Amino acid sequence: MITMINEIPSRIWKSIFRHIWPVNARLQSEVIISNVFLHIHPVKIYKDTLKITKTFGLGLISFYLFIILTITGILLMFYFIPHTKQAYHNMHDLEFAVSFGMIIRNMHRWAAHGMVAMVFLHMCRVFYTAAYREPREFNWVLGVILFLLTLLLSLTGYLLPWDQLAFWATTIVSKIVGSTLFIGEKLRYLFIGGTIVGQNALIRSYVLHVVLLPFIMGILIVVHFWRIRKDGGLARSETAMVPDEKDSEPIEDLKSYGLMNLVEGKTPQVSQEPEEMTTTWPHLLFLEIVLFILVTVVMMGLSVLFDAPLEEMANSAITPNPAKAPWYFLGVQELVSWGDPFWMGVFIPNLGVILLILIPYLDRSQTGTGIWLHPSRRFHNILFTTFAVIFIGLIIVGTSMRGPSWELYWPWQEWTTGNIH
Amino acid sequence: MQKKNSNYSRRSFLQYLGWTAAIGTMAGATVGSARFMFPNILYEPAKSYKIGRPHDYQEGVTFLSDKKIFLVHYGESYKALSAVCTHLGCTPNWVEERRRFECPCHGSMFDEKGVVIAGPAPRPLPWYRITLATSGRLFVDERRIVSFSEGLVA
Repeated sequence: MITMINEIPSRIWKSIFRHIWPVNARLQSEVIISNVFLHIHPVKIYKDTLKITKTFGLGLISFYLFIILTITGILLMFYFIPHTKQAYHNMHDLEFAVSFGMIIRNMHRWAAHGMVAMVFLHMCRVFYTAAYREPREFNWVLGVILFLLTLLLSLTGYLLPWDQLAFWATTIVSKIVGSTLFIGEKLRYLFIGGTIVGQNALIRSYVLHVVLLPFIMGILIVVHFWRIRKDGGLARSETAMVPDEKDSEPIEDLKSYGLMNLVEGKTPQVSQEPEEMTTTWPHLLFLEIVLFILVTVVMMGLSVLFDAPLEEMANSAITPNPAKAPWYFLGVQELVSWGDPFWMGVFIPNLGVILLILIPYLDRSQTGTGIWLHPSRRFHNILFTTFAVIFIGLIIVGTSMRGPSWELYWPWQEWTTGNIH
Repeated sequence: MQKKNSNYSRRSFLQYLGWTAAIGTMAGATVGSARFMFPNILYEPAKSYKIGRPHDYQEGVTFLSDKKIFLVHYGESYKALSAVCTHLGCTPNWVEERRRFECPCHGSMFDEKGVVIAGPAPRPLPWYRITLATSGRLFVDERRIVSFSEGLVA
């Protein structure tokens, strides 16, 4: 009788996990392969995957921020009603009437800003290590799409509180959309659900922000991770694919661990020298958990210290002066202030995105994959850095050098007119 | 009776019909969903409306915030000017000292006739047809754009 009761905990464990805690190499393999959440990982990884300076974990950080955003977002949904007469008051409720409401809201806002920044830095890292080369070109394209989704999620998100920023940003963005050639008016009608910015626009932003965009983003994240696996993990110079013009020589046996010989094509390589590899459990997973804790702690700290902004309630009669988008869109706002909304706000940004997507297909050099700032890529790195600096420069001009009526001010100059201080 | 010897069998024909029906249904559902996204009835304010009586308004430029227009009244003339910047839709402010409209978003400026004098705005501010309703109140019709010289004399 007693034996039966003593066995219950381990029986419960076994019924869930099907194996005991990994204490040897076989179990370390089994826990990765048999677990639905863990089996995206390979059982064995290269040791240099664990080096922090290889990637700084920027992609992982972006993913963690996405998780934090999803969780805080769901919590916020219990108090936020997407109606023009309610939304703004709900924001005040969260600040004053809901326990930890302001902290959750802050976490959501700062994680959003953080994710935009981290995704951008992750993109820069992938570029500077030439990790987009064959066979990873399409994963780069997926990454660019994920970046755009991140920006769209941010946009639809800050439209929700229905404060002055929300209302006027919707107005301006809808006009930029409306300036698209040929189909502009139809696109604008679709975006705001009518001809003026009002309740329809709010509910459409809400559905996009809470359902459609996260759903698409989730699927693409899964595909993005899956492709990392299929492409053999992080890019390394030793296993870089050097295209053979005649293609007569078969690629060296890229054996995986087990059945993959059945499938033709390039598979992750298990190196002939076992010293280069180590097990995912526990080394990689440990680093992943530590990073998650770090990201969460930093986000909580920021949320306790800094409050997310909220302007006055939306007022269709008064445009705030100046009316500035959040920092990641100020570059586009600066651009748009120079002239026609179509060329500046639609054409040039789309051209930038198309060029970004084409990078892996335009890059013809073959050295430096997986290595930071390889000397043979000096031209590529300088070109990319130039564009990145211009992009950041536009943001800086928009943030600190534009005052009321979008006039130029030095950052230290006081604004003498306008209705915002 | 001779059976026609053809490569195109009854089975192929039925398969063709079947696939056409299936794909056609899915295409129809997609087109329907896309059409669904464009509302047919909008609960938005009317594009033509009555405002106050002529003597309700002082001389000069008066901003009507609920309608987003400027009522411009000098002497006996009454005109209605759009208060939506033609660049990206912000509300310009009338600055009396400089006798011009200044948009806070990107610095577009319009003179008293609504003509663009600075900034990225591509078109002048439109003037709307303004008439006198039988009730004695001013009637603004935003669907009719008129030139600056056509105002109401009342």
